Amino acid sequence: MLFNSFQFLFLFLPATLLGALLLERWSRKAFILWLIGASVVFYGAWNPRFLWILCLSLVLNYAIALLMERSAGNARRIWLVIGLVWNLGLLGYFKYTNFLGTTIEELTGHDPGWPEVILPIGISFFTFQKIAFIVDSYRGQTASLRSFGRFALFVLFFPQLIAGPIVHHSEFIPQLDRRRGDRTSDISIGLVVLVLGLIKKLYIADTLALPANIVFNAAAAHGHPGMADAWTGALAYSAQIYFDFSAYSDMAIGLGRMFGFDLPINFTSPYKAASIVDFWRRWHITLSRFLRDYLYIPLGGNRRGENRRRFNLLATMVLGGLWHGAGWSFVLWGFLHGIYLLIAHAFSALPAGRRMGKSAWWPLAARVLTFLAVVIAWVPFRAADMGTTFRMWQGMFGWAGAGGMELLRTAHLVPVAGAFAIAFLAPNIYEIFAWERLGLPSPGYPATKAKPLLWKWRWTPVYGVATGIVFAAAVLKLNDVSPFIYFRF
Amino acid sequence: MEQETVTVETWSPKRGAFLAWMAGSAAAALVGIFLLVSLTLHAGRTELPFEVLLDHQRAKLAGDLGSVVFVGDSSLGNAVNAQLFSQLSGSKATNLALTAGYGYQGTLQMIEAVLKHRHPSDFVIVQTPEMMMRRPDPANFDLAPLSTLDPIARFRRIWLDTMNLDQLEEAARYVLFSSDRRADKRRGEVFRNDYIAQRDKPANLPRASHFDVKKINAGNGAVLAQIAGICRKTKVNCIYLNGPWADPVCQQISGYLAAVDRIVRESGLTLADSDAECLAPGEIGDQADHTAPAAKDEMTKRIFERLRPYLSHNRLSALS
Repeated sequence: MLFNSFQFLFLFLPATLLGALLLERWSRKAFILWLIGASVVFYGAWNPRFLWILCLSLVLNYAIALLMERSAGNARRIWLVIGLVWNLGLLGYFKYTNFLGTTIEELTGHDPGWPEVILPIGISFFTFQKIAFIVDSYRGQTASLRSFGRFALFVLFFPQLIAGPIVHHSEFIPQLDRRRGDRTSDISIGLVVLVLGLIKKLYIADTLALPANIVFNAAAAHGHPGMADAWTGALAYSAQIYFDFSAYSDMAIGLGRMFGFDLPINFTSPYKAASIVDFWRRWHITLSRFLRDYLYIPLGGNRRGENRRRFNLLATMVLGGLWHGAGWSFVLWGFLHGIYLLIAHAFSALPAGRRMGKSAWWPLAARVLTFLAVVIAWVPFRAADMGTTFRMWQGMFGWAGAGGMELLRTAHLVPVAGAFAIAFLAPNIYEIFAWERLGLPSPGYPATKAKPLLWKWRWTPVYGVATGIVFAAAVLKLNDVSPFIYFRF
Repeated sequence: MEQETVTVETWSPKRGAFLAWMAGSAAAALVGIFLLVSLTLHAGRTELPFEVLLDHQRAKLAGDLGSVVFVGDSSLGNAVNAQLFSQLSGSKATNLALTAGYGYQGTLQMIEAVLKHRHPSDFVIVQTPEMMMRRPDPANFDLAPLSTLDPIARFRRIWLDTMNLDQLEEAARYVLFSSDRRADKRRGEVFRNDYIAQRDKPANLPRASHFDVKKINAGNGAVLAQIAGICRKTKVNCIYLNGPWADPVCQQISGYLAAVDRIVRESGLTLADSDAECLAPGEIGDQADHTAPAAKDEMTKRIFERLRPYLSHNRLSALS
């Protein structure tokens, strides 16, 4: 079920919220069961055939965590390995079988004849969530294994089930014991953030899809976009994915708050980043911290010398790319970001780099450079294959001629320019609602600690009417919805 | 960062009032838009394109349909020029294409409607390749005019088809221009070349992964079997042809099309070809399965070549 669908907004959400509000005052257990049931319905609405995978994996992970809690030494380690093999095997089978089959066919010219595997929606997200839980159980860092219901709701809670944020158990499970005071505050702020997310998705991201699709489709059909088309297409996609993911993250946070839960902040104005390191502290924050805590640091992090640190960083980013999608273009995207990070670290270690960092013009130049690097890297992320990627890059760098706008019209520039004006200049929802303490900040991610603006959102009738009208405007676009980009991962 | 003291209340009247104002204004805005769109429709504004299309195609039923009748969805409506096809085949052809929203059920009902008054020698069923993945939707395939539906089905159809920006814009224009001739002119623009005029925007092309054998809806095969049964009973030659689809995806979905073909053959219909006509970049209209208006005649010729061996009079000439 899509957040931006009639069924969700007018049937599922009101019914689930009403039930939750009634039950939470009566019984915490009933409240948890209600939300588990609703989340199962939410997931099953996409394809009920895959519910068994979700449920089986849930039961197995809980059982393994319990067994680890009751064992020690090698036995504990064996349970950890079983848990990791199960989770990674599940993800590997569903996500990478088709990719492996295609790669074998390309390399050997022989089709292995494997049946096509459909990717269960959200598997990448809920698998990572459970891996974190299993690893922390092994480390003895999960003091929260009190009931299966609580663990089930942590994994299944529908606002974060399909595309994150990748919630950590230590952030969510303790909230199940807290009584929320003023629920009207939670619901009002949750609704406002949900409406803002809807508008971002329906009016901004989906509008930007058009110029992006025109250019990337032309390149996919072996066309060679000229420089102006290629840059506009790449910029349009950069803005599209920004607003698409921002919208989804807002809606997830807003929905979580409506049900009385604070979800971790996942997206804080990444195009305002002053370096590529800063970018990854603002874009998909919960994935970055998962990769840091459960991949980069276990690989050795920066504890085994400079060369090993570089390798660990590159490997983490490449695997992060592969996590997004089973394809060489995603590997290339991750590799590029890995290289960017290595360059950024090397540059800041140089005396010249440190001197430059102190100059007055550097903050603006760094932002522009970071942004351009990110845009160039989005090309393989969006392109259907490597051929499309290289044709787009050829266009952007003038190797296909310095052509004007042939695929696109000047009118296509308006939404792109407007979107970037918002991305660069407008405050994000955590700044707007800083007084409300929206979302959970992540330690080590400074951008998640929002500073309040001078202007303050007011809970007055005028703001209420404006929000209502904006919601009505969103409803008028519900006849033409498309799934969120991150739903594919 | 400055810390603010948060006072915990069980109920905040201020927030309650905010929520009430928000809900009230959203409801008022939606009701207002609904009334504007509905009232302008009742006042004579051009109906929704699919309603106009249905009336347009039903009006043809009263005339001479000829020996070849095309039925299907917009992939057909945008691909086949019936006049040109008549010239090419030497026998009169009629195109009764609806939209994909009507599904196979709509095609079945259209065939039944034709057979009530006429007896063509061939029905050519052309449906978009993705049709087999769609779920038959009882509210959408009903060919009955809006006014004859029960209140709930009517509300659902009106809601889905009227509560959108296009309809709001049309209604606003109608109100602004109702007293002059521009409104009449706009009504005439709904159709172009015997089908709904395409929008002036490029197609949003799905990836090949959109076509998934596992997404095929088994219910569609049953409807095709029903159509084949009617064809057998009335002794009409019924041919199935996949509608065109945009390149490069068109050439990457042979596995999916093979599954569609199997269902078509099992239903008892004659399959004209196992693949789809592919639309080159310059031939793509406003959707991945819409032939651009400029390429419609060329596509008609290509479809004629595909159908030629299967049309009744050609089969009879071959036998004699």
